Order: sequence, then C-alpha cells, then structure tokens
Amino acid sequence: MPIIDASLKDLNQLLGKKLSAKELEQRLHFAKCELEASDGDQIKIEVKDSNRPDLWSAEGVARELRGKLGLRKGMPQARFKDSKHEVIAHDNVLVYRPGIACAVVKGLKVSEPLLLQLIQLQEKITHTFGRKREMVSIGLYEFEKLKPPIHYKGVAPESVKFVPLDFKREMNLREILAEHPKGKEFGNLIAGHKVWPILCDDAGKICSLVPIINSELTGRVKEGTGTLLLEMTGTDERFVNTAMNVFCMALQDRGAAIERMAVVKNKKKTWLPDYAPGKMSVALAYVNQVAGMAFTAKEVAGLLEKAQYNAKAREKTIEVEYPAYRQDLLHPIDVVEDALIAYGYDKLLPESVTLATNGELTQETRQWEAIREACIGLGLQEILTFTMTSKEKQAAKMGYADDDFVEIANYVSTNWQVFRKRLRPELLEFLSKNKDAEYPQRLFEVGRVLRLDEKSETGVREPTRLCVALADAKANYTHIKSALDALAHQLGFSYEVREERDAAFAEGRHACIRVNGQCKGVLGEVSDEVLAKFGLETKVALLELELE
Amino acid sequence: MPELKEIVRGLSDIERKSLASLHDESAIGAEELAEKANLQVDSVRRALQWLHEKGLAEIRETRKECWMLTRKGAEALEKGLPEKRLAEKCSQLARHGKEITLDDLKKEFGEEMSPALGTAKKLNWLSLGKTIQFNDEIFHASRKLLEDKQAYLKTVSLCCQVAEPVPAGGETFEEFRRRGLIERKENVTRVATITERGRKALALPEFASGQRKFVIDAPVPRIYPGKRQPYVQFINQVKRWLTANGFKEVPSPLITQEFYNFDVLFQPQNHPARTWSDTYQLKRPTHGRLPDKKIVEAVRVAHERGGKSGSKGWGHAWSEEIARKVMPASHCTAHDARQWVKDIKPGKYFSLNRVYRPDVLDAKHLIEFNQLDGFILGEGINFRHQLGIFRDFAREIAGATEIKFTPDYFPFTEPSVQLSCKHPELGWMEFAGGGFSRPEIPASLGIQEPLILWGMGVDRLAMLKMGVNDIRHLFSDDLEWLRNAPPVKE
Repeated sequence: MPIIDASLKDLNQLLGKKLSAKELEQRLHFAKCELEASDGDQIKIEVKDSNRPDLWSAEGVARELRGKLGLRKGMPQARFKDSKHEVIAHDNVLVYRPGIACAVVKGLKVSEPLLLQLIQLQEKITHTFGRKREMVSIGLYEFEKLKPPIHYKGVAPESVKFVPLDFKREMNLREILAEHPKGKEFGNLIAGHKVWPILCDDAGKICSLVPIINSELTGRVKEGTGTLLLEMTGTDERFVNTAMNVFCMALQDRGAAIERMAVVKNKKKTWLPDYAPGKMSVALAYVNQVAGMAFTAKEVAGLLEKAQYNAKAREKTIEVEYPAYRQDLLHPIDVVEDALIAYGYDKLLPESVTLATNGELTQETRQWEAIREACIGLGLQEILTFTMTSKEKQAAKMGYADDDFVEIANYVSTNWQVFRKRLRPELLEFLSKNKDAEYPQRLFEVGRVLRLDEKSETGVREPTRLCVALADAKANYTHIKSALDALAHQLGFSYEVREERDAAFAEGRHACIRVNGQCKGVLGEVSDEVLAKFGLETKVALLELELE
Repeated sequence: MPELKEIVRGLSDIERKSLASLHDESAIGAEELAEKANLQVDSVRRALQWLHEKGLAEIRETRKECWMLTRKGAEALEKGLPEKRLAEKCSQLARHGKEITLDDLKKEFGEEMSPALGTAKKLNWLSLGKTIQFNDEIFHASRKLLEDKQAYLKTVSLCCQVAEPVPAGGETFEEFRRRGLIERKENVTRVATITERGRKALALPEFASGQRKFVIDAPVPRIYPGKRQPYVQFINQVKRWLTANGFKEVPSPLITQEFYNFDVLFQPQNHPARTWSDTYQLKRPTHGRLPDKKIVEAVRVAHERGGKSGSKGWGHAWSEEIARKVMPASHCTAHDARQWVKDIKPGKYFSLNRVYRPDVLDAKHLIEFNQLDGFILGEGINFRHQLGIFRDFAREIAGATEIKFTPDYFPFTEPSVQLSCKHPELGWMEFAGGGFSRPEIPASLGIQEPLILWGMGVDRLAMLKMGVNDIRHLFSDDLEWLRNAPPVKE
C-alpha cells in the first residue's frame, strides 16, 4: 500500500484549514488513510486503497479531506482547456506502446514542496499503478525550450544521441540502456524491439528515451521552472488516460492551467485526457440492502455530495456524476461504500447475526484431536514444526536420495525452500536442539506432509501424518512398537509389519507399517549415521505413519 | 544437623548402596560407581548429591577447558570456509564472464552471505557496487592463508576429540572465536569421596539393619506429562468458540490454485499482490486444474467485462493459464472461495490454517503463520452484521475493552472495514478486516444471497495468551519451555 511523504504545512495550505497532526490523524481515518508517522512538519501518510491513485499525493489527500471536513461539496471540476499544439504519434512505436497523452502546464510556481510532491506522485503512479512503467510512464519537460509539434516515434537505437539526466556526455540509446541506472532498471520494456521510442521536438531536439530517461537539456525540472510539458505513455490507453487525469487534477489544485495537446494518430486528432465525468445510477434499495439502513434518497445524495460526487436524488435511485480520475468505480457497490464512509462507520450500529446454524469441525480436525488424545495418553509431548523446510534436512541428512519435493520458486533462503514430505527429519532436528533437556524425551507431531500427485487437482496431495519419537540411552525397536500397538488400539486400526529397507534406520531394526495391505509408514531405531548427522548422542526410536 | 542415627535411618536404598561402595574407594566418579554398584548413573548422581548435602560424602569438581567447533565451524570444516566458497563461486562466474549480483549470491548462500561477503571484502578479493567486482589475482594470492585456516579448523576438531588443549593459534584463533566458528567448552568432572562422618555412619548398627524411616518431604523424581503444544491449545480454543457459535469449518488445502486465491475473489491478474515479492510461487508443481467450465467462463467474463453483476470489470484479457497456477495459500479466504465453487448453502463458515508470505523471519514476522477467515451467507445479511461479528470476536476471542471500525481497502470486499481493538495489555491493535462481498464474486458463482466475509491474523493474540514475546516461539523448539508452559489461558 502506498505511503506518501508530505509537509503538514503544505497539506494545511492545500486544505485551506489548519489541522494539528493529532486532528489530521483522526480525520485521515475517514479517507481510507492513516498517519503512519509524524515528525514536526514531516509526515508520512499510508493510503490504504491501492486502487485510488488520485489519493497518492498531498494534493489528492487534501482534496479528499476537504470533502470529508465539509469544506466543499460535490464533484471537483476539471477545468482543462485545449491547446493549439500537437503531438504526432508514429505507428512504429504505437504498435507496442499505444498509449500517449501530452499537456502544456502553465502558471505553475514550482516550489520545493511542490517539486517533491510531483516527483513522488510520478514515482507512485508509474511504479504501482503503472506496473513499473510498463502500463504508464510519465515525463515532465521545460516547454519553452521546445519547438512544437512534439513527436513520439520509434528510432533505431544507434541512430540518436543525447545527454541523459545525471550524465555529462552524449550517448546513443543502446549505450544509455547499458550504462544508465534507469536504463538497466527499465530497459527490458523496450530492449526486445527494433525501434525504441523517443520524444523529440520538431527541430529534432530530444526530450527523452521513453519510458527510460529524460534528456539533461530539456528534461530537468527545477524550482522556478515556468511552463511545463507533461507527457505520459504506456501499454494501456485507459490507464494512461486515468493517470493523466490524476496528475492534471493535482497540478490544477496547485494553481496550474492545464492545456491538453492534440494527439495525432494516423491524421486523426484526439485530446487527452478525456475528463468527462463518469455517470452511474444507484438504486436506493440496494444502498439500504447492503448497509442494513433505511436512508432516504435525499440523505444518500447528501452523503455522496460530501464524498465529492454530484448526486441527484430521484424517487428510487440516486444519479451520480464522479470525476474522471476515479477509475476504481466499477459497480454501484463502490458508490455505496463512499456513502457509508461519509456517513461514518462509527455511527453504524453493529447487528447480531441471528442465523441459527449448527457448528461443525472438519473430519480432519476431529481426526487430529483423536490422534492427540491417544498420544497424550502415552505421555508424549506435542511439538509443532514448520511445513516449509530445507532439502538438506529432509533428504541429505536422512540418507535419502529423493528430490520430488513441492518446491518454492522464489524462496528467501534455502532453509525454507521446500515443503516437508515427511515429519521425522523435523522431529530429529527438534531433538538435536534439546540435548540439554532431561531424558527420556518423548515427542509427537501430527500434521500434513505435501506430496507431488498428478491425480490431485492442485498437483499436490496433503495427507495427515503422525510421527512419534522416543529418545534416551535405551530407546529401541520394542519401545516404539509398543507405542504403535497402543496407538493402533486407541485409534481403531490394525496393522502388520514387514521388513523393508529404509536408509535412515539401523539395519535389521526397523520395518514398514502396513495397514490394509499397503505400506503406510515406518518404525524402528534411527541409524547411528543419521543420529550423528543431527548431532544426537542418544538413541532414537521413532515411527511415522500416514492416517486416513 | 540432625543426629547421625536419624540421617542413616532416612537413607534410601540407592544412597546406602552408593555409600557402601564409596567405602573402599579413595575418589570415584558417578559413572564408575554406578557400574560397580550395578545402579543407574542418574540415580547414583542424585544419591551422591544427597549424601553430600548430608555431610556423608564429599564431591570435588575439576574443570578442564577445551575449544571445540560450533555448528558453523563444523560446517566450515566439512564444506570449506564460507568466504572461500563464496569467492570460488564469484571466481567461477567471473571466468564465464557473468555478472555477479547480490541476489544470486543470496540465493546460493542464504544467511551466510553477508558475513562471507564482509570477510572477502576485507581481504580485498572483491568490491561492492551495483554488481560485484571480483579480483581473482588477490584471491589466488591468499590461497596459502586459506589453507592454513582450513587446517586450523581440523586441528581444533582433533584436539577436542582427545580433550587436548588447542595450540594457541594467534590471529586465526582470535578470528575464529570472533566469528563464532569455535567455542569454549568446559569439561567438568566430579569425583566423590567418603567423609569421616560417612565412615561413622557405615559403622552404625542402623546402617547394617537397613531399616529405613520414610522421609515424607524428600525430593521426588519429576514427571513430564503428555501435553498439547500451547499454540495448538490456543487454536483449539478459537475453533471451539466458533463451533459453539454455529460456524462450520471448511477444508483448507495448503496449496491452492491462483483461481481460488485470487481470481474467484475478483483480484485482477495484473494486481501487484500477485507478484513474487508478495506471494510465494512454486517451481514444482506449477499448474493445477480448474473446476467446471461454466464457472471458469463466468469468472473470465466478470474480470474482462463485469459479467452478470452489472460491473464494468477490469477490462483486461483474463488468462486461464495464470488461474491454473498453483501456490501456497496466501490467505484463508482462498478456502472460502473453493467452498463457494464446490457447494454452498446459507450459513456461517470459517477456516483456520497456515498461510504463506515471503518475508524475513524475525521476532515479529513468520513466513508461515495462521490466519482465521470466515464468511456468512444468508437472506438479509448486511454490512452491519459484519460489524456485529467483529464486535463479538473482539469481546469474546480477543478480550478487548474497546473497539473501533475504520474504512479500509481489501480487493474482495466493498464496503470494507478494519476492526481495531483496545486490549488491556497490548493497547490498540489492528485485529481484522472484512466487509460485504464485491457483487462480481457471488454473481459469477450463481450465489443469490448476500455474503459477508473477513480475515484476521491470530498470532499476536496467541502470543499474548501463551505469554511469549517472540513470534517464533509459537512453534517453540525449546523442550524445557514446552514441558513447563502452563495451560493456555481461555
């Protein structure tokens, strides 16, 4: 979830009301935000809604709070105008990056807090909403240095040179991708194509290698910069349009005049962003059904005005208009939430559920409890281990050569690389960590192991296993078989043992456990080699059994 | 001190046998004595201690210091010092002209990487930047030094086996000690001798007669009863509360298709939460199967165009291939989703099981932890019922004194609410999140009734009830602690 840095003073100026950090903290709760930290004027705000890029800046948070504080009602109006300037988009780049929108931003006083907010919003939008610049990337340039029309086109990587931001020498596009930090970070977005996208003016002056890096010459926005060119491109035209609306609205809140440039594609002109308000009709009955309330249409409309909608109450519906930057509104339910937040969750009375139903545990939970009961009767201490573990522990240390684990692709450490396919290595590990505790040590664990199985719909079978381990100087086959006898009797199954070699056990002192003619487990004395690998100095007899 | 006669009458059989065996020995250890008297070592050790306390025997301790390899040290002996292995890996990569990145090394060396990197850097084998610059020449020049170090590990290991003092290794010794490759071990040997008073006791007729006066307040051996693991006790309590309140448990496989973890829940396929940093992905197996075609198709339409609910949908092409991918469940709502697809009747349901999220394991974070999720489906169910359920949980499961509801965002609920509880000991904490189901979800599955759903972590509460400060203790590997832990508070 996005966390934004802001200045309290700057936020208060945008709000037009002075709030203390404490007051702000309380108010933010009603805007799906949280005051994450506050240190004097510096504050950090967590925006909980990952679908609301319009809230990811001081301007956006202030706009939302103005509604919630009753400082303004209804929908914030976009007052964008159309510029006479054009951006000409060429087909050779539109085929893989079709979204493009440009605007001239006039009358903006670029101060330090404003610059920080602009950079931050640009970061947040391109990173989270724009999926690391793939779906949306943003560039800002000094418009006065450029000669319109602007061109968005694909060029061969070696054919063009310019000085990228933070570098001192001219480089061709391929060099930029190889050497510039941003080239390395985002180069994968264009590297596979024959021509790479650039933005340049009519005189051929390069603005940027899109979506990688601006030119030092025209693409460095400083304090005091006058008229700006705002450019967005991306793989998704809808996302570019939304991001453009969000950004332009934030700039408008800062006092800028936005002039949309005409995008010329195949000689056809469009002006972006499209800022026509969205419209939705919300049934009053639906609001009341979801909320469990008896609001009138007028009440709901009033709440929605507070939540920055234009809302008209009809007899059975509320007709709403919402700003174009609200791309998160997919269904009337989203409007219902905004109405309820405006009403205040603290005013909604919790209601008890009167549905009369019988509680029930799964078969598995009941089975595990029966197994625990039986084990506790034998005086065993239950332990709990993780299902994620290492190959080394599960196989190598046990003397097993198998490698058919359910395995994690993006593991953080080899200690947690696979899911356990047997319990006994985990119990041996536990014993090895408790060599100072008084013996005998008598343990059990009941839990699932994970096995590859093509017949299962997930490709994995997750059977229940019980493992019992007895550790002391004299622990032997007889002891563990006595335990198995008692468990079989308690849990109501019969079994037989058969000789079958298992590499982890002492030769001749172990067997496989057969239930209904099938091998379902193993019992015996752990071999000296395995004990040594776990650093154990005492004998261990154990059993592991799959239970249905 | 009581009269000697009284003491002798109070001696246990083992004490008598031990004392008698001590009689003609000058000094003897418990092991030897046990063999001689044909008794268990543990019993003899206890008996000697008691004889000592009664003034009949004397125990002398001698301590001998030796140095031994730690677990890390033993590993370094077996596989080579970590900096050596790391350098060899770098050397190999460099030879093949490949870039050396921290991520690659982290994959291979895990937690060992940082210290190994530090040592290698100190020796000027490499320098750190965006990628790692490795200097093969300097590394090879240090070969001899490395071999000496490796040999020193072997020496320590051999010395310890024969209880010899380690040759003072100067710098290497100091370095290994600092790096925790070797540690000091103290061998304590205890020998017992009979005292003058002990001899007198042996001579008394009360000793010969063997008649024992029963000592009612003598220490007794300890019994460790069979017990449930405390975290299991806690989870059982929660489940008991839920079933007592009419909730039915749904099955919860640890591995699930993304279809249930995300798609049925209307989470878009390009959502950042579906990336490597937020959820675990599997190398094997990679894909599973999807349910009935009709349902898959309805989910696709909901994502792409909104479907029957009248939603706009996400407007992106939906891929069946992504939905078939399998992953460790990242929340228990995945199991709710599976249940809705399978068969669902109005009622109250829950699942409580382990979920998985990539993180760094520390006192506050586990990568595998328990979550409780649930849902209620029924005519007339609304958002205020969600608040009601939360109120009951807060009071009765968490023991909260005050509660607070705040707006929040979850991909599959709208309106969404977060429950915060004020606990008498922990203060305010975020406890659960839930809300009214997004209409795209039931509409795709043909569910008619309103649906509310929620999820909560239970681990902080478990920690409180178990009295532990470190979350890793929920899966405690300390047997003494487990044996001594009191029953978990209801």
